[in-house]
Amino acid sequence: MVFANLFFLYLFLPVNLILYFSTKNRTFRNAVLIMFSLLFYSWGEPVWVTLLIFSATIDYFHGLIIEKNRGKIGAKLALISSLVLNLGLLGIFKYSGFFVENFNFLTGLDIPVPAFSLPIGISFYTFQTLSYTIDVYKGNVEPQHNYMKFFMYVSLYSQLVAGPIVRYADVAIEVNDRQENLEDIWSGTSRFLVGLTKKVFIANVAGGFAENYLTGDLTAQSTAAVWFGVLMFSIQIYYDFSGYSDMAIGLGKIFGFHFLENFNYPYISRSATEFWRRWHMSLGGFFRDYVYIPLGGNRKHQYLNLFIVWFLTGFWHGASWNFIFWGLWFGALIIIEKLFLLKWLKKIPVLSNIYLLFVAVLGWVMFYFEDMGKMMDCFAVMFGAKGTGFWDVALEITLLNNVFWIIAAVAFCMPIVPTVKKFIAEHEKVQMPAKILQIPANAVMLIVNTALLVGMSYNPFLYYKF
Amino acid sequence: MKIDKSAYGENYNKERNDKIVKIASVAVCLLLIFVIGILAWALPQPTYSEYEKRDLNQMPEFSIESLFKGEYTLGVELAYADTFTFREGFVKLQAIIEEMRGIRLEGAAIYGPVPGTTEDDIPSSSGSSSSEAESLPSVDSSSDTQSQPEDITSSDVSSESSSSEEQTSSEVSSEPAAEEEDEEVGETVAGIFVYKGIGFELFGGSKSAAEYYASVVNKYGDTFGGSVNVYNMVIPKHAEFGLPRKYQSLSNSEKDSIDYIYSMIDSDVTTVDAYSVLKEHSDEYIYFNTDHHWTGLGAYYAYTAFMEAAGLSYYDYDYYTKHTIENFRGTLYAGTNDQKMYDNPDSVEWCEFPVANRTFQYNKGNMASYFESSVMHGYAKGVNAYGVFLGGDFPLTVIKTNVNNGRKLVIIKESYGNAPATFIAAGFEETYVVDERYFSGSLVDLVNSCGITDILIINNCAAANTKFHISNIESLLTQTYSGAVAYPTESVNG
Repeated sequence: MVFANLFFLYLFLPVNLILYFSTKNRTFRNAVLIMFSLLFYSWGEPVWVTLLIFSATIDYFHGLIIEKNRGKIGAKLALISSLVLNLGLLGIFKYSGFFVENFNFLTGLDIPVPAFSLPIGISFYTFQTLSYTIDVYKGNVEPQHNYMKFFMYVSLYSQLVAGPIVRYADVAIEVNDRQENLEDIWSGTSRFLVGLTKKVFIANVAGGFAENYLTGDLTAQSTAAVWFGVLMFSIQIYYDFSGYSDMAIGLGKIFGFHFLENFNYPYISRSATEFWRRWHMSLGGFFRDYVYIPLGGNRKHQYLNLFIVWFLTGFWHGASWNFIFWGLWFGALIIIEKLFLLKWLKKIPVLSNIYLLFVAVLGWVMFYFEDMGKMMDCFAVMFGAKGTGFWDVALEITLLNNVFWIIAAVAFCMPIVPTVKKFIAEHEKVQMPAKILQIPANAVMLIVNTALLVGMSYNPFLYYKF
Repeated sequence: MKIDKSAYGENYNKERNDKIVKIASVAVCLLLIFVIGILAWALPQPTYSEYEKRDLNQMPEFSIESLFKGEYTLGVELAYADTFTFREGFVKLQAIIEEMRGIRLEGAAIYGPVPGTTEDDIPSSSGSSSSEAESLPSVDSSSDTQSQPEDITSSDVSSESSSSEEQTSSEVSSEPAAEEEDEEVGETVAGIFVYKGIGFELFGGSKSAAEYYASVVNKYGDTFGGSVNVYNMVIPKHAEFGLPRKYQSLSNSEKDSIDYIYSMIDSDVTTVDAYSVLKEHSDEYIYFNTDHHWTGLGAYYAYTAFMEAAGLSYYDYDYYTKHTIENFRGTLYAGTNDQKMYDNPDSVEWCEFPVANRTFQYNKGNMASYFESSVMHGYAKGVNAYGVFLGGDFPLTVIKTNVNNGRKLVIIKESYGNAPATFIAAGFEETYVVDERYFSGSLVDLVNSCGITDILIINNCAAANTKFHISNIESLLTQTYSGAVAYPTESVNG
């Protein structure tokens, strides 16, 4: 199931809320969350829900074994076992097809390519359980003795299928004992609706444009049209993913959890280095803490470490070479920035913004096209190498037809909301009116998104691919 | 002391107000969700959307297998969305929101993709007919509501046909009809352009598809050429003549495509030039504003071109007794909900069939029985008003007249062919109108059993560039019906 879906909004969620808040009993509430999480997950993954249960269960025991054998070989074995099993799951279900295909290609053999359909969210929850075991091993966090509570942490449907990657250490206290309150429910509701609007009102529309302008024969398109398509994909992926994180964070708040932020206006960055501190922060943090630093970080063979991290970051996004290129593209940029560019970028404000947007958008071209031929076509048309003409009248109409929407979509890539919030916080007089204004604003967001969702029979979430 | 107290009171008030506003804020959202959610259960749920011309998804039947395949849960979601409370209202609201996204100069708007020349690879022209699955171009990669199955068999056109739809399929023979998911029934629509309240389907076209089409038409020449006259007509659509100069580059040339197709047609097939006569009359009301079809008048002009090619006389347009259906808002409006198109409704003028006749029709998937019907269906209305011609798309319509010229005709068509068929049939003893998508019998058998003298393959230019249609036309030559086909034996005079 996905959040931006009528069935979820008008049936699943209200029933979930009624049952959850029908009693104050903590165990009952946790049980309700687990029940609905399993329903939510198995709704789209009725078979491979078993993997989720498997992954959660083994890491629950890994945690206990590590605690019992602290300092002994047993702890180390449990850690290794967790790594092998979790990465093994990923390897089999996500990457086996890719590996066999490339092996066949290199050797000329014809081994049948396994065709698993990627279980939803597997890249997210295996990383969550993995982080738990590693953190327990390192002594950063106490292991959870209560299986039900641990399973609730892993399966919690708000962030289960598309992140953020919530580390156990960050929510351990709330898993054991949390306090739902009006303030959180109120702000969580607004946050959820904002995320829903980002997904439905911006990302879905931008996605439609990206599809219209980036499918088919690109060499028949004008340069401006392909740029428009690529920019629309850049808008789509940001709003889609950050909107989903907003919804996850908002829902979490309603149930008393406080997840860390996952996006911080990445497109206002002034370097690739900064971009990755603002984009999918929970993933960047994961690779930093569990790969980069253990490899030696900046203390030894830093550039090799960076290469490995960015190779893996790309590969995590999908079992295809284009994602690897995309990861290495950022790896290369970050290395160049470390060598000399960052110093310059810091001195030139606007140009550095343009630089980042340019390289990020080029990155999204690599990300979008799994088909290398199309990717090259796209680059060629973008830089006028196909002589297809710069402008076309269809694009002109599309731009005019959507001019207000485009302005809004671009504007909200910038931190307007935090600026307004800061202003309100500093001016007591506007606080109450702002809160009152939020009542109709919430209602409008809900109704508008409902209207946009009605009739849209198929609405797949982008990050399901990963 | 006093000051402290009031300050405390003020704080207390503020906190209380703050709490009230927050509760109200959450409550309003919850209330909306609960009320709409409950109404979704409580209100009666529609099963058919007149507007979109399709059956709405209904709750799927539960089975362990469909559950494990994920089909059951997906079906529940689709059904839930399709039968959502106030659905039509929400759909209208969506259209309004869409219009508010920007500016529309003179109502100019684009819906869906804009055609590049999508050169999709197809099996070489001699390729087997069963390969259509992989060569199907994505029919409407545009979003949500754009798909317009042209099936008109709604309750007000023929109650019999819609009721019989459920009991079909079991007896259908193997080939293409069996795998028609409804979204595949349309043509490759590149996108819709609206200007001053007139909708135009943009033409993309594909050279390889055009070649495929010509090769299939030539197969008809090879199969029947010696004994039966074979004609081919490709009809240009509205965009070809109607686009204002400034926007002509939006659509590729249909004339080029038609000329290209005709240039590849063998000499044992007669090509009929509908283009010239339509161009000549292009300032008349020959295409609808809000529907992707042509008007009866447009079809009439094509009819005169065909009759000339067939060596037969035709009626003067003034000769017919005419009727008009007002307030027609057709598929292009339904697909876009464009307000300017709403304000520019069409009228459907139709002519009474000029000679004595008996007309019979078949339901989808069933060639073993037929029912008596009529050529014109004057009660068609609303979004289905084009269904006045033949009542919509039936797999087979047989029109027998009191004409005595020894000529018996098969028309192979998609919905564009419905309107001209109602003129053409008056010039033949018997006319068998075959819908290339739904006919499940054997065409060869039909031609042999019924003593056919003429075959007209008539398609609009988009259909002639769409592999789904072409492969269907090709399959007609090889497919067989599993049971005995019943052809009407009734005669007009007795």
